[in-house]
Amino acid sequence: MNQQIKIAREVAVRADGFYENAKTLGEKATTVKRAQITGLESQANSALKVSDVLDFIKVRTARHEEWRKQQFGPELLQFIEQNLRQQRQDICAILSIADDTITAQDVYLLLIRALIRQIAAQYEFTSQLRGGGHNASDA
Amino acid sequence: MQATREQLEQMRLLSDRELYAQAQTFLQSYKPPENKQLAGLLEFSRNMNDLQSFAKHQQSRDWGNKSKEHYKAFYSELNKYLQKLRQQVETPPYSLVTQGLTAKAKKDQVEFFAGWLAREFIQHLVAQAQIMIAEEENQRQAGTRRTHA
Repeated sequence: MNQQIKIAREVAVRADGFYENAKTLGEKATTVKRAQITGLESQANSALKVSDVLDFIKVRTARHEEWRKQQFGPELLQFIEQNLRQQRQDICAILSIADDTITAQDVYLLLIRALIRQIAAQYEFTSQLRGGGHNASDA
Repeated sequence: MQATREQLEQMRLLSDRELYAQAQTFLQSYKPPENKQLAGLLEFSRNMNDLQSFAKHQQSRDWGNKSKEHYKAFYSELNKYLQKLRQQVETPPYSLVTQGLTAKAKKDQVEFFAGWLAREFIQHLVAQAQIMIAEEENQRQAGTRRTHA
């Protein structure tokens, strides 16, 4: 199995493991407007650096009260900086990837994308259950 | 100038591994100025010379108001940091400048990489500072609510 497939597999297994955490965060995210969640997904999917995603969350949390309301922003930041950082280290150890390489950085980004995809899905689901959620134009 | 693929990867890693942590450490020692000042920093960070001129100017200003006393120390330290950054691009862990260049080509690379690193550092610094200011404001409002309760 080549390295990319091994990484994708490890990330998928880890993503299953943090599904419950993503669900909780997705429910907390319902205080945030849909356009903000779409923006977060876009940022995570296009980022080349982990710090780009972290800075994005910090700036949104600082500027928009709804990101702080149920501690969505601070808890998301903490989860990425602590839990996902550890998961990245574990994957790198299992697959013998040096910690200071671009591959290790990519593993971290893949974990973040998986988490945010799950959060966005839970956000949609919870918003619908609660009666339609925020309008997409409420940017 | 055009960075090589290796240099781009090195910059990505440096931003995440070095500059992000340095911005957080910086703010543990130096209280940030208000959001308007941070917006100015972001704006000027597009160009290293403009950024340094801005930081020097803000350092030399008479901030008068007691609530802004810490601005001087913040900008003074930022100036020192930016000067150091210019020197560091050639040495580990940065080592971004290609070996064996002419003096002019080397100067161009130093300018390019120092500017890029400074922009990344300011982006991390401003994001962290903004969240710190918002948290402080939240705590202040919670304190006011408790006092009135």
